[in-house]
Amino acid sequence: MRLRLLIAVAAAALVGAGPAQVTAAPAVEGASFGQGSVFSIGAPIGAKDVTESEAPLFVTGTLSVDFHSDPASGCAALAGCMYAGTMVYRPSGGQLLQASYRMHGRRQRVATVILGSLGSSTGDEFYARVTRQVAGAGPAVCADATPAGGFLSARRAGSRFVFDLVQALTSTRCAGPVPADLEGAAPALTLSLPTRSGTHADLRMTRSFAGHGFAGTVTSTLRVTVGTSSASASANSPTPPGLHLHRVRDVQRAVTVAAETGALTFDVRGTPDAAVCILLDSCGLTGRLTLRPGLVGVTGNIAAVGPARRSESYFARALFGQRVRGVAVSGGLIWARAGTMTSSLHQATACVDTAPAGSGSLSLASGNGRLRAGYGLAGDLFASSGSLRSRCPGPQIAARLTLASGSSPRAALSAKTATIVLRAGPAFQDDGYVVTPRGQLSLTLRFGGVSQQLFSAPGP
Amino acid sequence: MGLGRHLRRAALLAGFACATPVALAATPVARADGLLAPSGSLVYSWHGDPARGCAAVGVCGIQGVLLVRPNSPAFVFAPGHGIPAMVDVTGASATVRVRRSETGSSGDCVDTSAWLNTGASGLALSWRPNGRARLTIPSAGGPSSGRCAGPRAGDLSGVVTGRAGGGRHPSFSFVATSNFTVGPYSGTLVSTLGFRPVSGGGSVSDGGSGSSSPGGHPKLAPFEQVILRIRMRTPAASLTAQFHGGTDATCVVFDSCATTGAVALGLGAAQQIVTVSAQHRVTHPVSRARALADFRAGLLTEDLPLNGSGAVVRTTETLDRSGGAPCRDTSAEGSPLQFWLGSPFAPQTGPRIPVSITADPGGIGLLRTRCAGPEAFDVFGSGATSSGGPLVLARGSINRSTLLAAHATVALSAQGSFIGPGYRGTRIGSLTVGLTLLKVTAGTVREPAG
Repeated sequence: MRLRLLIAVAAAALVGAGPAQVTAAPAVEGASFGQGSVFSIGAPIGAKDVTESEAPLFVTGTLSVDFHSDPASGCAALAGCMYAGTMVYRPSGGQLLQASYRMHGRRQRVATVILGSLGSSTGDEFYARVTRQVAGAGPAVCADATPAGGFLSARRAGSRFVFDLVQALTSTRCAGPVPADLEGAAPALTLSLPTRSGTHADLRMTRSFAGHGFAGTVTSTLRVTVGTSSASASANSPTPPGLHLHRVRDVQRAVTVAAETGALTFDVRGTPDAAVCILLDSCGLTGRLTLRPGLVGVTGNIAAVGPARRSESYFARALFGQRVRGVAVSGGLIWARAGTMTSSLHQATACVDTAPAGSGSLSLASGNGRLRAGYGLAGDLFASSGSLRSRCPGPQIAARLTLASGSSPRAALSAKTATIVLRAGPAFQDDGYVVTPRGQLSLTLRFGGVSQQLFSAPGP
Repeated sequence: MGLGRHLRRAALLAGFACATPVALAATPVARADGLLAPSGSLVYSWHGDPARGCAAVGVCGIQGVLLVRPNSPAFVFAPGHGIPAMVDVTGASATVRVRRSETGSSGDCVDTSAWLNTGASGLALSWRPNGRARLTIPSAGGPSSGRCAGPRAGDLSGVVTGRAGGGRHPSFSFVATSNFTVGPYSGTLVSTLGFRPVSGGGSVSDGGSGSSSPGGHPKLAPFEQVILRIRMRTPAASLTAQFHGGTDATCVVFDSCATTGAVALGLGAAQQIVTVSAQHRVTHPVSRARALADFRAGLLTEDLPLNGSGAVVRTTETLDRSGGAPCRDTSAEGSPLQFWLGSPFAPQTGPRIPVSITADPGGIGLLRTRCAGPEAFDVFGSGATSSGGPLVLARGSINRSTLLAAHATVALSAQGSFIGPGYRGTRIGSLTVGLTLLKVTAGTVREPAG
């Protein structure tokens, strides 16, 4: 079964777009999911002479982080330098996806790595055990586990693809360094394409890190072996039984966040259920989180997709806010990292911190005369940077799929820019925390010109 | 299977009640009668109870919490005709935290419970016109304490009562507190679960199936075929996993540092009839003798084998900890097993046929007692569970020629090593399966060429 289809569908779901639209979206080389790109894996639509393969990655060992509060790194603001702990990631395995294709007369190669199980709760976990020294008492212990792994985007180093494993890490509900603090200390998997079966990478290393209030060591005992690859379905593969190829027209308009005001805040308190809060060390914790999305400049698209027998202008009318029978407009923006999360919490001592926020998405869809927008997380496709956490303890508000939503009249699409106000969602509980969202975001979206693609897609 | 789950989950992530034709065509989607947005949680808390003999087991210093929180819309399947509706909660966080407090020793174990992660969630929801609603938590593949000390899967099954309201598109509230006792533990379940309809989420129709076949009559072709009917006798046997907590950082988060232990699975004697079927396309019809000769030579490819069944009848665990109390526990809960003549994973050719004993991935708790310790997929999984495959407890193979003898035996071995989160060790144990050939059918059949 085509993993690419799966990924495309999943990405489509995240950004609120139909799979056909995402399948039609241009591939981002190395399967990166950079700002505003609706990503896809493998060869882009229109590529010629496509060869795709999938190979299992056999992974042994662990990636662990031992850390302690570090006065020299400015830990005073983090509960008075009272934290120390261990975080562990143990990948269960993974997949290497490779594609080779010809486009614009050039042979090109792309690759991506998935650690753990994609989009599934059977995936890998990031574990943490963190102690907080409490004056006059023994240490309080926070123990937590959150999903880790997911897609690793690559950076090019000459002819090689480098996958930084820090992308597979995340933050738990316990205090500790955020993944960004570990960049440069965590190992990287470097592969030359095409990567052959049996390729072995020894990622064992120990490196120290210090900064943002914590110091410690990252220890990797990871070893990765590429298993036997199997050719995945290519663009020329036969259509599955019962399905037929249809010519599809995908008409898109670029969307860019031109301006942003406001912030989302989350009033937080530890759950009063002592049985729960004791083991998470959230008893008595109160405070506020402030999320500033920082989306200005993020780009994406909205699309109208349908049978190729309809003209481009037919679909374009829908993209400019007109009601067109049978044509839905959807799309969105997705980003790997943007904005900041600030914690101001109190639990015997104060913990104040600001850290980079992770990945997220803004879904856009028209319906019932409105253009609706939902600001949320990028789901568990990108396990790593999907976390909205700081270095202080606190809830995983990433557990909520939609953090804020709002709408404007659909006619807003007829203008070059439109402003949508997104209001925070209802209160919720996250494990040992009770969270009350507040505030609103005002996003000004700038709509660009129209482009289109034609392609064939299987359908009933 | 896994892919379908992924696709459905992908659709759920966006709250797509109606996925697109492309997505639906790729996986069969059963008829669902609506989407429900869950809220609240199930919180199981437990502690070692002296009145229930925690000292004898060695868990008096244990207190733990399992917190299950659905975080994706749930499908509700309402077949009607008095059949309880099913709520399929496809996404949930289920985190276990267990603190061990003993004189001179303490530790914390955190794990993510396998419940709701195996596709075996099967929360059953039923309600009556008078507004009474029942939420049944399954025993097979149900919530458990994972690798930490606490209740096993199945210990926490039961019924939570609640209220239904809202008429044709009801919402449900299961706010309840109840006490439970399992083995050496006493505990409390606090439910704040609720389900409310998702606007626009009703009537997820059956979206078609990728397995539908194109019209027209299939073209038939000759296949040489051998079908063997065999009685398998498996004796009572014991398979053991010896383990220790390792020295890497995972032992810190699973509180398994400086532990050693063993868990033994007692398999009951079993006898069943299994069928082996193998085929190979030929250009012309062949004789029975030729088909058997080709079978012996390994030219025929097995179909998906039919399997027999058996059971784990007893699981016994010992866990020793440097500076801590030893834990000893036995579970007599039966877990179903399958016996395979042929690979459960993929059709095979060649002179030998694999023979194996497997457990369904829904039975991941079969190694667990109420002590801490490794999960079954740590010990027997070999990565198979990541794709939803069965757990292979013991394996061997038999020559195809031997399989055609009136009586034969095949040795199955569990031997091997494993490394899992928090624990690593070795598997020990073997058993000899007796095979009696009951019937042989061989010759040529005509079947669809595709």
